[in-house]
Order: sequence, then structure tokens, then C-alpha cells
Amino acid sequence: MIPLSLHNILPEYMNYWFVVGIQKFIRVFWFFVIFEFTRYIIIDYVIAILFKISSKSRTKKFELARQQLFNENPFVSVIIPGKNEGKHLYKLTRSLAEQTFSNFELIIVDDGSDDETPIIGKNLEKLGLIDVFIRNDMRGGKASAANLALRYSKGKYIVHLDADCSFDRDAIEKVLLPFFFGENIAAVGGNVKVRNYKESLCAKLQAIEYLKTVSIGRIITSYLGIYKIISGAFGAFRKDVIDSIGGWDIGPGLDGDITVKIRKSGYNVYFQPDAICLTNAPAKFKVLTKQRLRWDKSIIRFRVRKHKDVYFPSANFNWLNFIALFENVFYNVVLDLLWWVYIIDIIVNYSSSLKFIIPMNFTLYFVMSYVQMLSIYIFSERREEEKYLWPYVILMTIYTGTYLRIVRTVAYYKEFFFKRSFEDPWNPYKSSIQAKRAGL
Amino acid sequence: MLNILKNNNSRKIVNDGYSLLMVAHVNELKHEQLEYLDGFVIDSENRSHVQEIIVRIRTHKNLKICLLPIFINNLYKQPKELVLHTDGYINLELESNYFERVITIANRIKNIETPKTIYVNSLIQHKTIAYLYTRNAILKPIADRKSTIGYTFPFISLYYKHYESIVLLKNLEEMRTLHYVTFQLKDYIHLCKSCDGNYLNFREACPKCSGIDIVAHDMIHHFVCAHVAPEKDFKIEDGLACPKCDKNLRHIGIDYDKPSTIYSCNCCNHEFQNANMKALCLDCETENQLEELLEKSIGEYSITQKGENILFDASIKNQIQENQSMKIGSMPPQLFKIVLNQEIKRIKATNGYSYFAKIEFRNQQLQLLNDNVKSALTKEISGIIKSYMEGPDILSAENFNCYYLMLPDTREDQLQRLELIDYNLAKLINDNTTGDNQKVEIKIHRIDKNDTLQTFFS
Repeated sequence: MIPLSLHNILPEYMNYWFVVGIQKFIRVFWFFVIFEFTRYIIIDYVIAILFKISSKSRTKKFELARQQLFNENPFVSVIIPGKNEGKHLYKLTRSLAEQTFSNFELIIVDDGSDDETPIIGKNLEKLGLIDVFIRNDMRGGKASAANLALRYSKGKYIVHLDADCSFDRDAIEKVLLPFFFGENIAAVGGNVKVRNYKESLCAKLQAIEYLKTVSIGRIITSYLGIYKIISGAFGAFRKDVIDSIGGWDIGPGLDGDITVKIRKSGYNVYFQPDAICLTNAPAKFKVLTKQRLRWDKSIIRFRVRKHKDVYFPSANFNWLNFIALFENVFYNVVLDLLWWVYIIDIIVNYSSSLKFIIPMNFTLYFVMSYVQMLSIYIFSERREEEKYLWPYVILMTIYTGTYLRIVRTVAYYKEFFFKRSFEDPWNPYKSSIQAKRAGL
Repeated sequence: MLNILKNNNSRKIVNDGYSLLMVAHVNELKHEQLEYLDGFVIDSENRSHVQEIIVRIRTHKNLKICLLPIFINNLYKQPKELVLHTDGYINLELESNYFERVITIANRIKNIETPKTIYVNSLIQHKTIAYLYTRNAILKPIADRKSTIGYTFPFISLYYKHYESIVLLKNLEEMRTLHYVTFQLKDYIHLCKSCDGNYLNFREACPKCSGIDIVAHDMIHHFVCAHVAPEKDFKIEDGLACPKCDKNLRHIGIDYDKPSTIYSCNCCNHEFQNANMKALCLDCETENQLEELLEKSIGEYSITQKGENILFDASIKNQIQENQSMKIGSMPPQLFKIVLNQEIKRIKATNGYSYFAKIEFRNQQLQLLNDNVKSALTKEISGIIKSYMEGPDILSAENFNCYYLMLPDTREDQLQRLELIDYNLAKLINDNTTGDNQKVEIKIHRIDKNDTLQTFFS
């Protein structure tokens, strides 16, 4: 082992990587090269180029859809289920009042709030700012509240929103346009971005993550036809389709679940990056950890267990559905486990070279983060504002590569072996226990 | 010693120099010199006769007569809403029981001065206070279905027709404001905005079409599949089954619960959770929103020391009331016309510049308001007009929607204040009424030497 001193550390490090050769480099960084670089750089950039090339024809398609939208002027139901969301309601109604598409009714379902939400909701209904305000004295969970709103909605399309979100003026118009691309599109996901990115480091890192996974990630999956999660914060659905599949099932993770249900019914789903919704991300890591544990458990619960039929040959087998879920499970669950295998592999086989491997590993991920950020810059319509986030991209390696990976591993372990999602207080126990018994 | 004397068809009970007239019909009172009596005993079974007798005595213009004790022969039972205006039943054979009371009342009546006020309300107030004083009693309301406010007060209620009960309450409130009586709350009543009646039918109605044909349904939440819908969606022949997952619902609290209720309207099919509560007045058929109902306090009134004092001190009798014109700070129309006539004469003599303005409200909704609201509105309108008036200007209110304004020594370029009045009055009406027909009309006329009163009031 060669002792390192501060003055010769960099030349020695450079020399080491020149000497090892490309084969050994790939052997050491096989995880990065095979999975991360291929998926997040090569595929992203290929799709980005194809997406850019097709931008003219896409613009034309959207223009035509826009004409059809305003000619038909379909009635839309905007539904907002939630608990203790009263404080957001007035702002939300103001945000919606500014929309370029205005032929909609606003239905708010108060799912057993124990604050002043019922008073606020009733007042706003009286003032005409909310069309229908329904209050359930007993909490039933988000899915039941959404289904209740669905029951009383009269629109041809349902737009599902979260109460703490705000929207670009043309967000509802834009999210409706893809329905005019073809009969088979039954659901459209809006683009959710972080509003409070200046609030804390935690929020900043999530803002970058949302740009990568929500904005860009979903453009790619939608382009490939394997888009599989319409965010609960902003999504639009055809009412006839959502009625036919029975609405939302018990969560957590009901937004991903309903998207898969729609796909399994033979319909396509579409991501609309131009329909922008801003939401507040958790500003503290403690809150974020809880949220991510919940989200990650739902991957095992829904993608691995509930919808496992997608992976097996059947009369309804569909390759795109298979790939969509497989890609999701593979890149989240399998690679998460494989990453630990990789760590063990490196420790066991290259323990003497860790002083060179760890910095290089960070360098690779650091460079990849910035290269990815460049693709975000290309796609984003808020690129100037988002420049603010560039200095923090350097921390994404630790955030996604370490912190989120550990959270994911814990979540998968808890859900896989103990089905902990059924104990999550996010959903009332009375419902979760029934869902668990029914194997949902 | 008790004597029943019968002279000229009249019967009297005399005891120790005090005499009570036994009366069975109101006509019997005509031939009597009532001021020489010490009380009455109603000796009739006929309810309307009894009522007529009580009303005639209690509303007698002579204070000393209206306060005289009235007893009812206990052989004849009368309804409580009549009995409360009297001094109760008596057994004619037990004269000592009631003559003591007659003497007490008579002694108290002697001390009371007759007021010289010309105002009806003042007289009623004075008589009511005197009644409380002579009986050493509290004015207690009793529930009475026949009263438009649902309650009747002893004595004072006889001065008002059944549809004037709100005026009665106002008069009582005024007595309280003047500290002649104290008040102890017993109840709140809610009255129709249009006729002040309290015979209201409260109904839940559809917020969309106002129809009352609405039905409430329980909402059902099926836990296992998160389906939520009204109970009717779950009903099958022999129970409840979930329309989403086809499972039977067997056990509330385990399989399902009922988190809320929802109404559906059979007229317009609208479904809603918060029905509008409305109150239909069964007297005038006006539909009232709950917030439009007039809320009034009903309670017991006891005479105060100040109240007793005014019964004995003639000097403060005329404090009791001012007329409406004084209250709003305007001149009575008759007086205004005299002053205007004088102004015309002055213009003739001086060739001066003076203006007359007539301010009228053309709004049908205002006609529907009840007298109290009209009165409050008059005050508010007068307040606005007065805030723009200058020293010599004179205001008069013909009624709640017609006002006269005389602007002496005013040139045309000094009339901007009328524009401000116009703007502010229009705002007042628009802010407080709905519809597009809110109109305030101000007609301005320069007073000319050839004008007569007909020019302005034709």
C-alpha cells in the first residue's frame, strides 16, 4: 500500500486511473456504466434529441387539439379530496379562477377534517367560489374522498388536484389537450414542480429531483409509452374510464395504482410537461423520510404484489405494461438491492483501492448529475428560474445515491416482509385492515 | 260589611265606602260615572263580552279609570289571555280577600298624576308604568298563539291591535332605554321581515332551485374498496351490496360506515349537503332567509325608581317621546312647506338664489321592507343627506323613500353636494338590495319668484 501525502494525492490519483485501463474501469464501475449511465444519460439524450426533432409536428398536434378543445368546450370536474386543507382552499380557488379554460365545476371533499376546513369550505361554497363542498364527518382516507367527489362530478373529464398546489394559468387547458390526440388516451399527468425550493436545502434537492424524475423522467417514459404514474397533485382522467375501473382504490400510492389500472384496461396514459403545477415539498428531511418511506412501500405493494399479473402471460398481457412496471420495479427495487451487492463487491475485491474508487465514483455521479441537468435545461420552460438550483446539483449524488437509496431499502424491507404500508396512519386503520385481509 | 245594591239596572258591591261595579256587558259601562267607582267585577260567561269590557276599561283615556281593578266572578272561567289583563278571579262571598286589594290599588292610583302629553306612545308608557306601580307587579309575557309575536303582555297589549305587536315591543324597548323599567330576558322571537309575524314554517330547501321536495340519503363508505356513494346506490333486494366490488355489506363499523348525509332535490336533481333553511311566513306568505328574520327579545319588565318618579312628577312627563321627525333631525313636511313658502316670498323680494331638491328612491324591493327596517333606512338616508348639508339647508322626510331639501342662498355651481348625496345614496341602496333597478332620483328646481307650493308638490 502506497502512503498518501497531501501534496502528491492528486497526481497519484490521476496516475492510478490512467494505469488501470478501460476494462478494469468498467469492472470497478459496472453498476454505474451498465445501469446508471445507460439509462439516465444515453437513453435520456437519445429521447431528448428525438423529442426535439419532433417538436414541430408536436406543436402542430397541440394546436389542432387546442382548437378541438375550445370547439367542443367539454364540461370538466375539478376534484380536490383532502383532510385539513381549509387553509389552502381560498388561494386554490383564486388560482383556478385565473385558468384559461373555465368550463369546469370545482368539487371539494373534506375527509373528516378536525380543523376549520368545514367552515371555510361551506363559506366558499356559499360565496360561489366552490361549486360543491362535501363534508364527511368520519375520515375514510384519500381514495374514498376522491371516489365521493367522482360520484358527484358531472364533467366529461375529471381533473384531480391537491389542495396545496397552484397552477399556471393554462395548466387545465394544457392537461386536457392530449385527450384530443386519440380516443385511446384515458389519463394525462401534469408536470409537478417544487414551489418552495428556496425554503431549505431539503426542498432544493427535491426541486432538482422533481425536475429529473418528474419533468424529464416522465417525458421519456411517456415518449416510450411506459409512463405509469400520474401524480395525485395534478392529473386528468376520462370520467367514463375512471368510472368503469371503479375509481381509486385504497392507498398509500393510489395515484400510481389508478394509472396502472387504466393501463391494464387497455388505455394509454400521457404526460403533459407543459401543464405546470407547483407544490410545496417537505422542507425537513424528517418529513421527507416519512413521505418517501410511504411512497417506496407502495412500489412493493402495488407494482410487485397487486399488479403482479402484468408480468405473466395472460389474455390481457401487454408488452408496454410489462415494460412499464418492470422498468419501475427493476430500477427501483432490483437495482436498489444490486447496489448493495455492488458495494460488497467493491469492498471485498478492491478494498485496497477504495481511496481511488470512492472519489472517482463521486466524480462520475457528480458529472452525470450536471449532464442530466443540462437535459433539464433543454426541456424546461422555466430554465432561467431553475438556474438557481445548479450549484446544489453537486449534492445530488449524496441525496439520491445514498440518502434516498437507504430510505428505499428500509421501505422495501418493511413492506416486503411486514406489509407495513397497511399500518400507515395516512390511511384510516378501519380501511387498511380490510384491504390487508382482502390481499389488496 | 258587604252590600249589593241594585239601582237603575246597575249592580254594585259596596264595602267600607269602596264600590265595585258588577258588569256583564260593555253597554252597562255607558250609564255609569266610572270615575266614582273603585273597580269592576265581570259577571259574564260570554267571552267576547268579557273581552269588550276589559278593553273598554283598560284603554280608557282617563288614567285613573284604566287602572281600576277588574275582577272576574269565579263562577265563570275565562281564557288566560283575558285573565292576565285583570286582577284575577274573586269569590263574591269572600269580600275581605279582594277589598283589601281594591283599597291598596285605589290608594296608589290617588298618588298618580295624569300626564299632559299629546303623544299616544307616551300615554301608553305612562299608563303601563302606572299599572305596574299600582299592582306592585312585574310585566310578565305569556305565550299566546293569537299574538303575532307569540306573546302577550298584561295591560299594554290591549292598546295594540294584533298586527301591531312589534310597535308594542318597540314601546317597551323605549321604556327600557329611558330607564323607566328594567328588563330580564326570557326568550328570543324571530319575526317575518315583511309583516312582523311569527307564525313561521321553517323548511329545508334546495340551494339551487329553492324547492322543498328534498330527500336526505346516508352516505356509505365501503372500507375494502374505498367506494363512497349514497345508500341508494348500495341497495339491493335483500340488503346492501357494493356496486364497485360486488361484496355484500354486512356489518357497520367493520365493513362500512356512514360518514355523512347528502340531500337530493326531487325538483332539479341537485345533490347537496347543506340545505338552505327558509322560513315561510304563514300570515303573509313571505319566504324569509334565516338571516333576514327579525330577532326580538321577550322578557319581564319591572318598574324602576325613575319610573315611579315620573308618575308623581308632572315636570318630566314630556320627556317620554319625541316624534320621528325629531329623531332623524329633519323638519316635519307640513312645517317644511310653510318654510318653503316663506322662502318663495323671500326670493320674490330679494331675487336671490335658492334651490329645492326632491330625492326619491325608485326601488320595488324597498316597498317590501317592514316598518322597522324602513324606519332604520330613513335614519340612515337622512344621516347621509345631512352629512352633506350646509348650515342654512333644511331637510324634510315625506316618507322612507321621499325627501325634500331646501338649499337657501345656493348658486348652481354650489350644487356639487347633491352629486355626492346621489352617489352615496345609490351606493347605500346597491349595497343592501339586489337587482339592477336600484335608482335614486334627485330632481333639482331653482326656486323662482313665480313658484307656488304646487310647483314643488304637485
